Amino acid sequence: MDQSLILKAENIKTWFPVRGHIARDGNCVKAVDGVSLSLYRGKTYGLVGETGCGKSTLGRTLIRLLEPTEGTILLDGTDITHFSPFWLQLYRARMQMVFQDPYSSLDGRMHVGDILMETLAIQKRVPRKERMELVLQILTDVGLLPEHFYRYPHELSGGQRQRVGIARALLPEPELIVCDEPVSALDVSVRSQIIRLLLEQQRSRDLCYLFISHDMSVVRYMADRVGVMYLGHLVEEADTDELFEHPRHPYTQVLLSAVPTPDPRTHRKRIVLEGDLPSPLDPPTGCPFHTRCPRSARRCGEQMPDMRECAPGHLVACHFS
Amino acid sequence: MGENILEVRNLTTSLNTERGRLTAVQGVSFHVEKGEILGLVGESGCGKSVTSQSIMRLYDEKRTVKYSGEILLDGENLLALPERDMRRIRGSRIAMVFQDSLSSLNPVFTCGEQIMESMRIHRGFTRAEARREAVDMLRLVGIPDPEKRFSQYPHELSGGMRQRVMIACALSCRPELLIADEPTTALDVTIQAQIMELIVELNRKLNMGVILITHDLAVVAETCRRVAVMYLGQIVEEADVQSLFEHPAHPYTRGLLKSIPTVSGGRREELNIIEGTVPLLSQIPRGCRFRPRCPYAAPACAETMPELNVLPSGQKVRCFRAKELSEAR
Repeated sequence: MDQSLILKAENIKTWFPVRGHIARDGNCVKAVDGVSLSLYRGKTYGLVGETGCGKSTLGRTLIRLLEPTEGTILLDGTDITHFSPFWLQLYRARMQMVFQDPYSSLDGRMHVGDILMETLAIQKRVPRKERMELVLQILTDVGLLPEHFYRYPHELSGGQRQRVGIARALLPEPELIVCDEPVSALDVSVRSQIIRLLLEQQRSRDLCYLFISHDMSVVRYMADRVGVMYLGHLVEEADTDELFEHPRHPYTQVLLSAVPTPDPRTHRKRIVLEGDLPSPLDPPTGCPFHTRCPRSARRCGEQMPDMRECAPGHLVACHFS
Repeated sequence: MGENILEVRNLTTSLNTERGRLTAVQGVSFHVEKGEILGLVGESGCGKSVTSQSIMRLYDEKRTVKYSGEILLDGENLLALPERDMRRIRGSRIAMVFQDSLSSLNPVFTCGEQIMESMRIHRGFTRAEARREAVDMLRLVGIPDPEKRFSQYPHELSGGMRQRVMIACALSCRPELLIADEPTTALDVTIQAQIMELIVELNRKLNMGVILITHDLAVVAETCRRVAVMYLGQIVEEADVQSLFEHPAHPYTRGLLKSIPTVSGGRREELNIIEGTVPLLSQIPRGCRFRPRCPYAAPACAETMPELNVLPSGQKVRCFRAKELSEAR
């Protein structure tokens, strides 16, 4: 087996049952519906898609914050798909998460230092005496100062809070970090600082990132390999340059054409998409994208296309590309 | 040169807050021509929204805010008008579209009623007239099945649809000036593309002036003709889009442009970093406001504040070293 493979997920389905008077019993929101992917040491996997496509749910499922309805997740060869909370705790340190909104993901009543000390206390890996030193070290690593130890989250700026969020994720010395829109809430100048921090840490610690974002330009910059999601399905996956230069799936093409470029001379041909995302409660039959697809044919409404390799390492789920 | 619909001269807005009196906008001047889209860009806390809300005079003037300078709408100074006259202008001659459509629309009224409201107030329409016009407005902003949407509530619509309803509300009285404050920030890229296309199209069709406030330089590059860049309550650079993106004159603009990754750009070429963050309004540095973060700062920058000067290229820039830096390039 490939030495650098950290996590392998096969045919992951995460369904949420809906209760209530509108939906009949047994109805489910199929947030993630049959996704397979592999994550490698030292690499970044970018996951893109629009609101509600299931990218966050997938990220949370992969590190077992959620339990999948079907499928298998292998962490370094160990099947963690249905681990109990007790067993999971032993593996938590290896998989961490950075959230989008560092304000609501940090406890407002604790000092920054206490928030960081707490992760070490739960882990019990480091003797009590050494914890303080470790926390001060990580604060400098992420570009904060030792005096931030006694600050509350509300006293920090957005960028500083995100640094605390990253410090917390780094403390258990994980191999894999799921970054769920880590720079989306930040201003342009701060965003590039955080991106640089993430890249530096990746290099020095040989980390694997699952980088979830709706911002195509940031993903192009960060990721080695990119997966595009639509309505709970992975519709295309390829190495970053290949995907951005030769997008095969019609949805990827639409998505890329909609991204504005900071150059007033380029006038792109924009593919404008009709309508809105269908409800995941009542997804279309066949290919999930066929209701809005410019290339849709009858076959698309009947048969779900499989992921197949159209070029080396380039996977696409479409009958026609 | 076209006719100016709006001219802002030396606008200063200061607000009373818990932390004392803060000057959020300091000596801002710009103009908007008829049928033109002006981009107002900057990071959060740089005074873009305060500027736009000052134009509408939306702050509590008895307690909170003090304005100085002039805001001329078609030659008439809005800051000198009594509140009664200002009410006639708001929503009819100047209209605004906000970022968060869910909290800006009233949840207990249908979309149609909200579009009709300003038409009935400002244009004196009867219910039937207003209804007909409102359905037309919904059609104009590209909403399918406008009759049905007319009687739906905001929560029944998707984000993109709600943003269209907001635009319909704003345009219902055919304003001469539309202020769009981050109209697409909360939306997905595909929806953002739709909404921006709509704003550009309506701007041409109705020949109104538009102020597009955004932090997204890429959106500006695609839609605006002129851009003003704000930093800490001041305009630091103003230019036409072409020159601003090709040879930005102010170090802040340069830094911003180099720090955005692009979809077409190569991977992992170093992103430029502007060190530090935008300071608080209560801690405005002496001299040039960008000096503490500026890689080109000279001793003179700490002494006096640079004026907004015009370069030979026609760009206006607030920097002592702009000329020298543009020649060095």
